[in-house]
Amino acid sequence: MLLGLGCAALAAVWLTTGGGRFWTSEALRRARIEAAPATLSSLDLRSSTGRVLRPWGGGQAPARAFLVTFIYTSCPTLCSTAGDGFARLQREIEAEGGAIRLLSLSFDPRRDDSLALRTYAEHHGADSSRWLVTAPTSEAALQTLLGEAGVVVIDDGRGGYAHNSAIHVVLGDGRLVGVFDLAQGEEALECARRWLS
Amino acid sequence: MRSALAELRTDAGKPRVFLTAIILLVLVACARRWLERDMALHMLVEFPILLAVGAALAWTTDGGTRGVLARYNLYGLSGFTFVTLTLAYWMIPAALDASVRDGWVDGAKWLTLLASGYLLPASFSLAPLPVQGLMMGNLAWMTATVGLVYQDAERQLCLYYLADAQVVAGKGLVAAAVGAGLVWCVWAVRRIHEDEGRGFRASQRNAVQAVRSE
Repeated sequence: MLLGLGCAALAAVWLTTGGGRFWTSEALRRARIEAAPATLSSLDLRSSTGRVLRPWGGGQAPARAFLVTFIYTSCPTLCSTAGDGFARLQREIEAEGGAIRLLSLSFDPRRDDSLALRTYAEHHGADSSRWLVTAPTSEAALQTLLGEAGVVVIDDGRGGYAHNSAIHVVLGDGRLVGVFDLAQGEEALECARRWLS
Repeated sequence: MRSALAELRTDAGKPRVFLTAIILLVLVACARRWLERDMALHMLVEFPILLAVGAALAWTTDGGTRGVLARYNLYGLSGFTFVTLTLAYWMIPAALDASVRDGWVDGAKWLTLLASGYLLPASFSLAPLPVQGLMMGNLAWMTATVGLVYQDAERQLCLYYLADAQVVAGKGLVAAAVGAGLVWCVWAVRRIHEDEGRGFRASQRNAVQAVRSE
């Protein structure tokens, strides 16, 4: 009986933690995406310049990649850090000839109107030819995207949000192939280069 | 108040305890979303209530003290092991997140916690004090350790809970571990004194009988 209980518990822990290696949902999410890239549904985004674009999916070839961060522009902490990191990466991707682009995607489209997106873009010096600051045009499409990418956004009770901040590497065909810490911009860029080569 | 509690402990009080447990279970089920929105409420209110409801259901139905279940719960070891493993599992951040995200995982959590509670009364009555001490010590140590990890973590461990809530839950787990350990110690000391008293009275009776028979 005790042996059976022990085996059942071990099996449950093994399955839940990816073989005892990943004890948090975020670590599990990254490992699963690395092992088997998730495919994100295509969605329309409105950018800070007022353009509507569909960055991935819809039969597009995977010949380009996006480094995506999920943000909300009124965030005083991590989203601002993400913006600073992207400002540095923006200079590095100049040599990629447009194959790799940066995409800041707001999950708070109601508050992040065009003006808010433009202010965020200007504050961080975003060059719209390399770095797009956007928000989804549809709330339903946003929820689908968050679910597919495994991004969890929760109300922080102070008018803001807490979320799993990361850089997501998304190919042109919608495949999410890597997730990296905000401080791992170089690694994310390298991952995108590897998939494009 | 005392007489009411004493009445509940008798067989006559069992239907009332059973009904109270069922009502509590329904109330917790209705408040599930609210309870699980906060990490401390989730781990320090919902978990203990489910354990208590399971224990109350076991006590009112004599669950596990007789019959098949008792045969597989020698010295309460299987029961205590099940409780320990269940609580350990649901304190893993990834498991806690999954229970918030997926309804079927939450269902599994409810069932295993209720089953743990159901096994507790029988396990306590079947286990000698040293076994109880070992199991309770292990449970308290494990809970306190998880609580310290939650408090000291540099980042948010659960995606569905804020870092602040994680610290509060961590402190609560340490307090719960220390509290449960102390309650058990007090109860164990009282039981030892009672057993010694019973043993002393029995030896006195035997001595009197021996004198009379002479």
